[in-house]
Amino acid sequence: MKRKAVMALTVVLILAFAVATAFAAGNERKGKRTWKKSCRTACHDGSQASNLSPVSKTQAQWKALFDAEHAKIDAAHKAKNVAIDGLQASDWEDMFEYLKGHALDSDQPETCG
Amino acid sequence: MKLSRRKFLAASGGAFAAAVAAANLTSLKAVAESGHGDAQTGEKGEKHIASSCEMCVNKCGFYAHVVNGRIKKLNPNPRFFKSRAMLCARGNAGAEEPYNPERLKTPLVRDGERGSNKWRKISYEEAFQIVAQKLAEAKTKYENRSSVAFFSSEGLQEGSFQMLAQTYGSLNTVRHPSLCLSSTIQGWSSVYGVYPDADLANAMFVVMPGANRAEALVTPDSMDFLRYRPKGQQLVVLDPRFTNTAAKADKWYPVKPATDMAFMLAMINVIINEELYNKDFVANMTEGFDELKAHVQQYTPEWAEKECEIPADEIKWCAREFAKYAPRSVIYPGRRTSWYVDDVAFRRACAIIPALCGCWDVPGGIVPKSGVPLKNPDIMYPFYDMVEERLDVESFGEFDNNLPDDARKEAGLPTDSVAYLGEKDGSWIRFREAVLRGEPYPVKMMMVYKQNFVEAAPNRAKTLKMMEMMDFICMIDIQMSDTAFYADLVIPESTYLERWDVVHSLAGIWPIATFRQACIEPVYQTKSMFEITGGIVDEMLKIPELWDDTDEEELEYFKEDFVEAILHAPIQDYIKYQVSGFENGYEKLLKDGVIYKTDQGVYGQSAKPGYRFKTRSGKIELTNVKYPDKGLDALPVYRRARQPKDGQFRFILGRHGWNTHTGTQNNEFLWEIQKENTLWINSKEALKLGIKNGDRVVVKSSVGEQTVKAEVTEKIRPDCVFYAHGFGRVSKGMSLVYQKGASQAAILEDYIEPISGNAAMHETFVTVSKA
Repeated sequence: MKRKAVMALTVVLILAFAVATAFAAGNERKGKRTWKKSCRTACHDGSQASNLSPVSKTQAQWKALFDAEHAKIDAAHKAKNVAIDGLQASDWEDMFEYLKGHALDSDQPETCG
Repeated sequence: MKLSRRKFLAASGGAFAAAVAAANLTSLKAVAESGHGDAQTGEKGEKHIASSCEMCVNKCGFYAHVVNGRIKKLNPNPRFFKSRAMLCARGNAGAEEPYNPERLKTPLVRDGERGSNKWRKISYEEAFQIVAQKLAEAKTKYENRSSVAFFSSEGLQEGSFQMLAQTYGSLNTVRHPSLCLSSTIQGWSSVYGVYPDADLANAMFVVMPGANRAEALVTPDSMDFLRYRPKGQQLVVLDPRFTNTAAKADKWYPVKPATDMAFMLAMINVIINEELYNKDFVANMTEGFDELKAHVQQYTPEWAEKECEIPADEIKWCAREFAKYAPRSVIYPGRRTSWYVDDVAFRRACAIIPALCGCWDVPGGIVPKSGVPLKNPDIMYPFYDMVEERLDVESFGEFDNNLPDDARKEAGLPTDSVAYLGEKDGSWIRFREAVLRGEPYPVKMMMVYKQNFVEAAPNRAKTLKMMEMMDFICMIDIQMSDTAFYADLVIPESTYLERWDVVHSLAGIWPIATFRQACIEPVYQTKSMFEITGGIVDEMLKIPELWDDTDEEELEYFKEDFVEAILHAPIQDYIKYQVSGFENGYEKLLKDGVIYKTDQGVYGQSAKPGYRFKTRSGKIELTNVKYPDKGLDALPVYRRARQPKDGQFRFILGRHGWNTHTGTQNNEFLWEIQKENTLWINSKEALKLGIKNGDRVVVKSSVGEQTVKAEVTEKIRPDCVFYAHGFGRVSKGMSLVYQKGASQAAILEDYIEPISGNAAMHETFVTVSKA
């Protein structure tokens, strides 16, 4: 898709915008945005990489991935020659908050309908 | 080819019986013969269109028999195995909906005081412009998109309304669960990580605490327990009322209200102390057995008898029978569980019993829901600057009137927040409280999709006060509900027989997906919520100030990927995408009305050793691991609830088979069955008060009073009274039930179950006197 083709180039700009949002209501909301834009719809919807969503892992598993300044994630992307350099430190923190908050064993309750 | 039992039922008895029952309804003859409604259609010919019902939440499949462009009759869909190929009388009465003389036909803007019933007709285009302009005004004035609240009720078009909410960017969405089943979802999930179903088609021993499946219809459960229960199945019902479900039970225990947990804890006590539990299952699949065992020693059957007024021997019998028939034994989870302020603890106790006996994910046991895999697009809504966090997540200090003054108040329950708040659902009672306080920011506009909270939420006076605080209220519905009546702008939606709805997976033991296609053209040129969202978003895009706090490039993506690709495309394209993983999925849907992977029950996926449950420990948690982090009990602790004093009664709620919530009472055919509600009062209590059958009585609580006819009966405990939901209405646009009978919302006090955020609707005490 057209959007996916330009995704890699726009990630840096988008994230810079996200960081600059003075009224943003918490890191989790920013994290959701960053996750969807940079990861989910770019690759991890199953089209170019594994189908990944917050409930794919437990809170502990997400933590393990994001520990040591997300070294495991960096290594996995490097092995596949996928650049993720555009993400700032705060973006990783925001994404972790979102993924942890919606993990398989998170506090977010099931709903109805 | 071997014919499965389900296929057989669907193809023969179930469908036949339902069809015969339906054919005998006078309402159907009336639809066919009365010439209901004044709209004419130029269409000629006869057709049968597959679609699904919206007269309640079950979405049962049907074939609409359409003659010359008008609905003649709705027939059950034999492929809709979730309902066992049944379409109930209420579903049949849905044929009246498009032709109801009081249905909303055109957008209306208020032309007088709120509630004055003075309206001016406008076009949809004008309505969309008004909404867009009001949304822009709110954003500019309050610099916070969350100052607009979006209330919705469940349904296949709710997603379209949520698209509008997300396009605007408010985080304040308030859905129905906290007026319904949040506490049971939370309670059962705290043990299994999910809210499971009970397999009534195969269970041999069933305990139903409070649920009334003979009248509050839930498919397939209602059909399974009424018609397809296995030979020898025993049903035990706990209910202060002798409901139709109790009438069908093998044993009815008229449990003392607010003590059901004592019964369950004593069952656990017996199962553990008599070593009736499944030792292998407990060892391999559960967490916290030793703590549970120590905890329940205090809860003997003899102790429980004094609390719940069910004999100790009966409790022991129940525990032993439950274990004897395990794993084909269930404690029925139920649905509308908004009873008491400690409801989550009670549901935990219910959920623990089948876990002890290994009744998990096997035929006849408690089974996690499975779904039908559908594709749904990842929509990227703009990211806005001017958005504040939801209103009901912050701590605002202790709320008034939220926990009754008894031992449960000392349970460590949060009094200023909700322990596990659904981020999309919110907590209705907490939300209203926060709006009334105006802290930490004002909410001044409401967009409402079919949620009739004026009659659905406890303490109607408080709800109306909240509405008075609004700058603007827009309601989208098919009828002039009570909430619509107090709105500023009312936008009609097409009825479910006139519109296309997206595909929805009905998760359960027998997962099936359904959708809607228009059976007839809209009788009054009304629109679906999908079209309404499209129209409003188009108008929003014409107002630059609505988009000045987002990135221009993102906005362009949004226009391209969402507005053009989805909203401006036919809804059929969306449906085709959803079922694109199925071979000829769309064509199958059009023809059969349903799509599914299998018509067999799905069992055993989570019963394998090593399976990771969605709990903190990964196992079934007899003792909850994460609750103590929030100061909550890890195990269900019984704390004595206050009980009514002399001259007081506990007001309890319940459902019946012919109406759904507040949505169907003005349907002429259903109105023929019940024209107003009556107060169930025990005959001995009535005698003391000098009340005779049919007398008009005043029912009074601390927040309101209602006048209603008395129904003197032995079918209710002396300490309770009851009347049905959906009467005593305040909308003059529902003339059949306007001020007929009594309203529940008017007298219910607004207590809350603060772990889930559910309203606690069985905590209100009332007095009754002759009018």
